[in-house]
Amino acid sequence: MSLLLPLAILAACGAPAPVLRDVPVQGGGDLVQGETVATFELDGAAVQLDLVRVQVTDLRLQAPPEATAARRWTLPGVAHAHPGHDFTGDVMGELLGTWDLDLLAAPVELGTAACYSGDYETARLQVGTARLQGSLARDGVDLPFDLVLDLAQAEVTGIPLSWTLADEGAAPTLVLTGAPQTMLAAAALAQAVDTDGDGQLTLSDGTLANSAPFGLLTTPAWTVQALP
Amino acid sequence: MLPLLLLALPGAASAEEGEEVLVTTEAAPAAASEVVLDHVAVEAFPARDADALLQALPGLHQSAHGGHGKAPQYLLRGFDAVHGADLAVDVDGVPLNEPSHIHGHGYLDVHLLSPRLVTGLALHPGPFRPEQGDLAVAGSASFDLGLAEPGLWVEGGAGTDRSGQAALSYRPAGEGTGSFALAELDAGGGQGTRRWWQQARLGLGREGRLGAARARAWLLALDGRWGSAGVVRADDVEAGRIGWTGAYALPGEGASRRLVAAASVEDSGRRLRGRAQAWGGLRGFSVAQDYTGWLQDPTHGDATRQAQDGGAAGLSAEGSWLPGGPSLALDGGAALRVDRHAQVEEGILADGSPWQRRIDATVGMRDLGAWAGARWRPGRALVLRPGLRVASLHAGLLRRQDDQGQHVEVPAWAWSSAPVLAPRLSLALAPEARLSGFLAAGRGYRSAEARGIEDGDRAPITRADAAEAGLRARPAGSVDLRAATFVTLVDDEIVFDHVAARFLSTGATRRLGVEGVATLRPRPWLGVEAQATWADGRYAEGLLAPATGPVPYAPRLLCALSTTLRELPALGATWTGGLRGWLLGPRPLPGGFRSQATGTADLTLSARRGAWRADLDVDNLLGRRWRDGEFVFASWPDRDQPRSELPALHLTTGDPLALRLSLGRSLL
Repeated sequence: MSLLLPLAILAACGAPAPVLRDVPVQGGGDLVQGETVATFELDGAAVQLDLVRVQVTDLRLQAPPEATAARRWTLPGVAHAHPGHDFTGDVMGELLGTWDLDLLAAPVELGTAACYSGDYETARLQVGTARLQGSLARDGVDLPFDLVLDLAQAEVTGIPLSWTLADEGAAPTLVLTGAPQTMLAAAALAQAVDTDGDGQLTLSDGTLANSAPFGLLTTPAWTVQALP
Repeated sequence: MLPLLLLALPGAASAEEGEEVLVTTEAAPAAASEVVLDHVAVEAFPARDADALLQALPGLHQSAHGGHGKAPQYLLRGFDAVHGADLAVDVDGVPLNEPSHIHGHGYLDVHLLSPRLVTGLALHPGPFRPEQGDLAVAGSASFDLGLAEPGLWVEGGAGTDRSGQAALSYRPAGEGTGSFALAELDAGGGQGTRRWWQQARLGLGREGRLGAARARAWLLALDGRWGSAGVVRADDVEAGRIGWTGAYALPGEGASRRLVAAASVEDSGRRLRGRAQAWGGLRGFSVAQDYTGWLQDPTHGDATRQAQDGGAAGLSAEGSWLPGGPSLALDGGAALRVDRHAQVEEGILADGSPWQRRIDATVGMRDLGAWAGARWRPGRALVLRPGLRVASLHAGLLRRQDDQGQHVEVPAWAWSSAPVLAPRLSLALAPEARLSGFLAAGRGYRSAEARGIEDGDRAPITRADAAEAGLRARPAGSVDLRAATFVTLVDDEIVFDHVAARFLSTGATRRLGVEGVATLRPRPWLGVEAQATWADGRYAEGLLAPATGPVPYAPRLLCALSTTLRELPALGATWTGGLRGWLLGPRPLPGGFRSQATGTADLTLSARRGAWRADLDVDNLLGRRWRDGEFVFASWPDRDQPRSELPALHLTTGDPLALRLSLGRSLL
């Protein structure tokens, strides 16, 4: 049998298998020229942010969705009737955990993700509780807002991530950022009406109970970038 | 019905008496790589079950990932034939594969057949013979059924794998091997967690004369149950969270009941031979399994139970005719097979109780095929075997539950069908000379799985065009060398997606391979054989088209080295046995991953003295921790660990070293 071993080793020589690598991950606010933005114009209203904290869980990094079933078949899947013969996922990297992100602060270290080498195209995460506090100046009137949400681990999917992780060499840092401006635009905060007349915008006002969760879960509000 | 038939046959002398066997299809191989085992070779092959005997075919390997009782996973010549989707096997002409089986198309469960009742085995790689039908994509095999041991025989034994077995057999004196009765019990606890098994088998057979014809009837029955350790994550094993032979606390067991009966009549004259057979079978099967733990459903868990109950029946007729002498034989045949099975798949909780029904249907399959061929010897050094097979394949589905799991008030059958035309051709150059050459080509096909069809659609048939070129050399009387190169082009790997219950067209594939076998017989009682098969399976649109990726799980390199003793008289006894070591090279896994090389060795040895016989079987003689199977997918079996969706390597661990010893005695 010993004579056969070299043959087996020869047979093993082929395309390299994906390598599982450690990739540092940071998370925080969206930076413009190195700083987060706490004051901005939103549909004719001036917004001043005092606090934006969002609890996120389990950042998962996904390989490109495959255009053909042939390629799809070659990706790892979740076993169902037979081990490994069914395809349901393409997560090739992940950082598990829950973090309370301060989106008004520069990104901080979240941990080290385990990622297989290869191409990546999207990311996804779950959102738990969140709080967005600040004020809205509209038509010369200041209106504070305090949006407190519990999204119960609702998922944000399809966050763009154009990245190739090499088998070796220095691993880049992945940076997860959330953009409050995009969140509040999607939440239509500038158009929100203080329907209960308590002088403050909360989830009980207008359609904020629906639009604010949408704002936090909207894909463009989140980015994942690989920085060298 | 069958017992009456059995009794009605006149007690006959040996089947060989007065036979005028005209031409048999085994008279000359259709391809260089064909293998035929006689009874002694079968006995000398280390095989715990009859299905393990199939590994006598170079390039064929099996993985018992589901436990001792479930059909293994078959790997052959660059094909991952899963549970039998690309390997057609019959016993005495009765097909054992089960198309549209709830657990996998072509499910090939040979546990019905006791190794004691195997008197021979013919192994045919590729689809080169016209008689090869549905599922003979990578190859086919035919078991000869009979009992070699004459008289009344009783046997019992035990093993270090906490096993015990007992057998009682009877073959009337002076009658052929086709007249037999066998009762057999085999049970064990196994070594490790959830590796137990229980099997009871019954076999009855009778052969004799009906006028001038030779008649035969037989019945095989199995009642089996088993536990399955399932898969374990390699990282859990490495971290010591689970033992090498351990298992997660997840459902893993199965039950298999099967009864097959057949009756055949065969007549052979100087120029004409014909055989007709009718067969029928009943089937019950269930398996509870969970490969992913709690990943998909953290509340209920991912465990499923699959079950089917039903039956199959068939008719076949075949014949050979020598129109003008021994240089030309015309062969032909036709076969009809019908299947009908009620199938259920449901989600179950950890305690086995169902919580969600996912499949509730009846499937029906009809396979009507006919073939014609010729064996023509235009000159002494050339044998041509052209042939053609035509088939009409029908798949039907009666759903009692729709895609959303809602009860269908008025279920109605949906049927799809497809015709198949499969030409076959082989050529042998100087088959009796010291150096022979063989060329073979043919189309194989795999029927569609009934659960994925839509009413009126053409059933998606997989077609595989294969060719093989080979040489056989006998440089000396004791040396036999074989070499072959082969190619198989599959037009479209149609995969049934069990989650979505639909077909996935995964593209065309190409297998290229070479095979070499060297056999040395320095003594009539001693044989040494080395064999190696290398195959490369890739997605590619044609023979010369660029490949896009390897076919996952497909075997690449399989080597085996075996030594056999054939009825060696020594130390006052007659010894028969075999030692076989094998090595399976790394295989491509999904997503670019790769398995490790794995291998071990097994031994079987029997000593016969007078009315007594002792048998020793050793599994995993080297005592290695060998990887029976490797799979890559995401799972979450232990909720104390974080829920990762990353693909992870999973193992089915091979059996540890085990010795089984049995003692038998002839009583009559």
